Amino acid sequence: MKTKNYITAFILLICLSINAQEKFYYAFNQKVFLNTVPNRYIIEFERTPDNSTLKKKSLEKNKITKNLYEFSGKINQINDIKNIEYQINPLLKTKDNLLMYIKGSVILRWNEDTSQTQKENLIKKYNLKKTKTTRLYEVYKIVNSLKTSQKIYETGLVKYCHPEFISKVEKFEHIPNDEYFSNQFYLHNTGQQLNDNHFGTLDADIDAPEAWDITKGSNNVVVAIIDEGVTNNHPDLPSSRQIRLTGSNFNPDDGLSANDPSPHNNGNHGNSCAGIVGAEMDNSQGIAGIAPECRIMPIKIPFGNYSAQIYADAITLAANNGANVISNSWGYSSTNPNLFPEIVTAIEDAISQGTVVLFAAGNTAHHANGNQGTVNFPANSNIPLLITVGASDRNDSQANYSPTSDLIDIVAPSHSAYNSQISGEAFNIWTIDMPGNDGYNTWHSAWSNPLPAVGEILPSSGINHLSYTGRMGGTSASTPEVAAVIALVLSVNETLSVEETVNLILNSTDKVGGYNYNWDLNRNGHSREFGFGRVNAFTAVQSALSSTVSQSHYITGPSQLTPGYRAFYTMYPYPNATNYVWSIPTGCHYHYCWGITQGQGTNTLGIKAGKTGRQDITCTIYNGNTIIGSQYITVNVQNPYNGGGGNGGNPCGGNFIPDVIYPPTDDDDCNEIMNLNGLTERIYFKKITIYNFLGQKVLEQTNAQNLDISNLNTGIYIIKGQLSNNDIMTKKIYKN
Amino acid sequence: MKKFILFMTMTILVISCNTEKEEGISYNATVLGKGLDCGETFLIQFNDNTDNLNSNNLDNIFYAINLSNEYKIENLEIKVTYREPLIEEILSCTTLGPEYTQIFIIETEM
Repeated sequence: MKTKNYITAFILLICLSINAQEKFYYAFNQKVFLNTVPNRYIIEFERTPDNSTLKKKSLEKNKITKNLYEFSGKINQINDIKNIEYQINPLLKTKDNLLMYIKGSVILRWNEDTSQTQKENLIKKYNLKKTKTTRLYEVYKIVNSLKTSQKIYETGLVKYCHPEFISKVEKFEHIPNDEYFSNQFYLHNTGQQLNDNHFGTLDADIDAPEAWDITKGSNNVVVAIIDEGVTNNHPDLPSSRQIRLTGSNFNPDDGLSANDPSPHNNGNHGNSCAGIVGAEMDNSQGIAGIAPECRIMPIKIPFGNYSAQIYADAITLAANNGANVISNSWGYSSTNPNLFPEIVTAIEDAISQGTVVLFAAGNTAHHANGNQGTVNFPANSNIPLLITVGASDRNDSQANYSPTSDLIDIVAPSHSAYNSQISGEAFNIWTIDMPGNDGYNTWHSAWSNPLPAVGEILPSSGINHLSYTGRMGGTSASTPEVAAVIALVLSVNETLSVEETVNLILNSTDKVGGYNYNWDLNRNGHSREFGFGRVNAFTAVQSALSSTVSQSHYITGPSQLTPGYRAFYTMYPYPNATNYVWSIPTGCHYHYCWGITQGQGTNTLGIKAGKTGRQDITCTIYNGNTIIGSQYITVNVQNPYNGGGGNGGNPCGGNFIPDVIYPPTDDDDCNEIMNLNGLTERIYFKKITIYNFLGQKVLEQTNAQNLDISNLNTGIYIIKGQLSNNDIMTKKIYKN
Repeated sequence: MKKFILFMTMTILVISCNTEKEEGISYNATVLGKGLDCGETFLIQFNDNTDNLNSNNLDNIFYAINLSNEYKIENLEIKVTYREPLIEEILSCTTLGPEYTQIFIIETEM
C-alpha cells in the first residue's frame, strides 16, 4: 500500500498526434516552427530518479540537465517507468537544426493591461502552477507545454508565452583541420581517448579553439624558445615564421655554425616547445600551435655541464632582439634561487626591457610516493614577474611530477605521470618532431625512459608523420603553452606592460582541481598545486581585448575646433584591423564645411571643420568585411573670433595665434597656418613680412590671401603679421 | 717551523673543505641509460639504501655526473663512490623527464 502511494505514474504521451506543421511556438508575434527528431524523446522527472530507474532504461549517460534525460528508441520502451512522475516529450529541432529540449513548463510575460482577474481565470483554465517569478517573466509548470503555450499566447493577454526549452548555447570556437588535432587534448579536451588509452575530461584544457575565434596571433609578436634548437623550415613551422638570429646557436659542441639554431642528435626538445607555441594551423597536417600566426625565435643552448654565461647570453640575445616572450623549459637541479647570478640578472634585465619570461617549474615531484618535489633554479629565483609554470593533466588534476610549492604561478595541461613511476601512463602531448627518424619519433631505445605501450613510432601514419611526435610532456610542455597564450594576449593588445601581462594571465585562469586557493591570505586565489590556476587562453584573450577597447576609446585629437580648422585624429591601432572607416559631421559655417582632407582608410584622419556645435567623429574598424570595433570622439566646434560660436563673426578675423606656426598653405581666402598640434587656423593679415634667421627680409605681402612661400629655402623664418585689428604678430615658422 | 705551520694549515684547510663526504664508501648501482634531459649524462639506480642523499630523490635514480664512458652500458652493474656536485658541476637540463637528483661520481668499478 505504501509502495502504491509512491506509484503515481502520470504518463503523458504528448504531441504524438500532432502533425509536423503544427509544432511551433510564438516568439512575440512570429511563429517559430519546429520539427520532430524521430525516435528521440525527452523525459522530465518530477524529482531526481533513482539509479536503478536510470539504469533500467539506459538513461544514466543521457542526462541533459537536472531531472531531464534523453531517450533514443521506441516510446513504448519507456512508458512503463514506475514510482515517479514524469513527462515524455518528443525531441524537437529548429529549421536550422538547433535541438530544442522541451520541458513541461511555459515562460510568459503578461501584458501590462491584463487585469488580475484575467490572469487568475487563465491560470485556472490551464491549471498553471507558478514556479518562478522575475521582473521580466514568470514560469509555470504545465502539461503539454507546446500546445498550451500557443493557446495562452492566442488569448492576447501575454506579450509572449512559449515552452521552456533547453538548448545548447554554442561557444564560438575554431576547430582546426590539422590531422592530429584531436590528440591535442591540452588545447581541446572532449574526453577523447589518448594514445596511452586513457580518456580525457571534458574541458580540462586551455580553451584554445575559443580563443582562436578571436585571434590566432600576430606576426608582430615573437616568442623566443631557448632550448635545443628548432628545425629550419619544418613542414609545420616554416622558416618564414622563424627569426633565426645571427649568433643564436650557443652550443659549442654540436658541429653547427654559431648562426644555425637547428637541433642535432635527436635533440627535439626545442622543436617540441616551438611546435606547441607556433605550429601552423589549418594546413591539414600535423598539429595546431596555440599562436600559429606569431613568430618563433629559436635560441639554441646546450645541456649538460656548461658555463652559466651561455644561458645568460642566450636570454639577453632574445630580449635584445625584440622577443616579446621567452619560454624556458629547462633548469638546474638546485633549489638555490641565486645559483648563478648572471642568469638571474639576465632574466631581470629581459623583464625590464619589456619581455615576459617563463620557466618550467621542473619535474621533481612523485606525488604517488608522497614526494611533493621542489621548484629548482632558475624557476625559483626571487625575480618579480618571472612566471613559474607547473603541470596539470588530462583531468585537471596535478600531474604526478609537478611540484607543490608556493613558487608555482600557473599550470597548463601536460601528461599525467611517467610510466616509470605510474604504470600505464605515458607522454601524450602532441607536437612537432625532427623530420625523419631523428628526434622523438621514432623513440630511441638509448633513452632510459621506458617506452609507452604504443611502440616506437608515434604517430605511425599521416602526412609527414615522422615530423610529429605524441611523446612530449612534463612541465616542459606546460611552459610553452602559457608562453603561447601570452603571445595571443599580446597579439590583441600590444601595449600591455610585462606587469599588466603577467597580472592578466594569472587573473584569467580556471581555478580547477579542487585545491585550496586561499591558503595564503596575502595571495588571494593562489594554490600551492596550481598557483593561480590552469591557464585559459580564451579568458586571457578576452581580458586583453577588453583592455584594448577601453584604451581605444581615446581617439587622439583636438576636442575644440574652429570652423575652417584642419585637424588630425588618430585611432589607437586595433589588432588585426585592415580598414578604418571614418565618418565626420556634415554642414557648413559660412563657406567652411566639414570635409576629410586625408587618411580615410587609415587610423589617422585629417579633417576640415565646418558647422559649429558639439559633434561626433566616428571611426569604424574592420577586419576584412567584419566590424571589429567602433569608437568616437565628441568635438566642440566654436568660432573664437566673435566670442565663441556665434554666427556673425568673421572666420578670418580675431587674434588666435598658436605658439609655433608652420608655413601657410594654399587655401580659400585666408592664410592658413598650422601649429604643431595639427590644428589649422585662419588669420587674415593686412600685411605679412617674413625674415630669415639672419634678420633679412625675404618676403612681404599685403592683404595676403594666398601667400606663396615656395621660393623660400627650407629652414627657419620669422614671420611678422599685421592683423585685421592692427595687432602685430611675430612667430617662428619652419619651411620644409 | 714555518714550513710545519704551513703544512698543518694546508692540511686542516683541505680536510675541512673536503666535500667528498662519501669517499671510500662504494654503493652498488645499475646503469639505466642516457637520461632524457641533461645532454649525454647517464642515469644510474642504486640498489642499496643511500639515505645520506637528498631525500627528494625519485626511485633511487640519479644523474651520474662524471660517469666514465666505459661504464655507460645499459643494465651494467657497477660500484660507485660519489659526492654532491659542486655548484659549477651542476648540469643544466631540460624539463621533459623526471628531474632526478644529480650526483658526482668519484670512482667507478665493476
